[in-house]
Amino acid sequence: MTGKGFNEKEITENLRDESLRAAAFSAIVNRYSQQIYWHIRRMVLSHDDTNDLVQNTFIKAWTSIDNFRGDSKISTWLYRIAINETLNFLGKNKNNTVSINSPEGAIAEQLESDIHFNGERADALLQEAIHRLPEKQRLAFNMKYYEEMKYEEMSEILGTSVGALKASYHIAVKKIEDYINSQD
Amino acid sequence: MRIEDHNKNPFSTPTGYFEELNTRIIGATSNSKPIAKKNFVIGNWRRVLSYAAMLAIVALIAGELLSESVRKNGNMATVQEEMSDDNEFYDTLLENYTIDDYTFYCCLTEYE
Repeated sequence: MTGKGFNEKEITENLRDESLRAAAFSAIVNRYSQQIYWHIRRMVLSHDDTNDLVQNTFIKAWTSIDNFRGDSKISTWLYRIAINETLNFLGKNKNNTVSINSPEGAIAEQLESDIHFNGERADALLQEAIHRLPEKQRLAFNMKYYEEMKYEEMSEILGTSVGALKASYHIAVKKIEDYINSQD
Repeated sequence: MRIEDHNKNPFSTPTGYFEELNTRIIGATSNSKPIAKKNFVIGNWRRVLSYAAMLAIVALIAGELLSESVRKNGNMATVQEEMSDDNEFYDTLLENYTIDDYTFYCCLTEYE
């Protein structure tokens, strides 16, 4: 997950030095903000909610930067914070957001009326199918299918075994395909 | 239709959103400071030692009071035991030395 011009080891060391900390954190924001944004967006769907959650994720990371000892990768640490923020948000807003209990087609319709959704009806239905999965299974599916993450990396972030994640992903794919086929 | 046939990212963001997002986040973090992790430094030992000393003194006083109370309770039990022994003694004595009316009369009249 490290890109050009981003030296993970150097950044981690700079985070411990108070005079270099702010610059190191700016580098982290520039490197990971988009990745974290898309990860959260696929979970909550709305751009406005994602915008708040991404900002909260990075502010939380900054305020608790002393707790980052460099045992794990910076991306793993950020993903964990983002996932916590997202799951808390989804838990608190269960009644206000589209969920597994929403009537069929409700999520697709909501997406189609969103100005920040460019997909067709089939894409909206796919998002609806994904959104009907349990939260943890949805996380595993999104990380594997959209972010093309390795199971080992997912395992480190989610604290779940590789075997369980593989099974979860295959079950999720089956459920999504069944749902899409039932809508044809 | 298979999952693979779908658009992988049907979502979009407002134009220039990520540049604005990064500036906003960096601006927000520059206004706040990280919460300092509490380190256990040697200076804290003094406080810990004073707490430990206070605790030891309280424990000593409590122990002393407790043992005194136990001792007192033990003494009371002994006295009560002794008193009950004495009562038995006097009862026996009275039983053995009870004077009947006749003896009493003799004693009064110095008559034998």
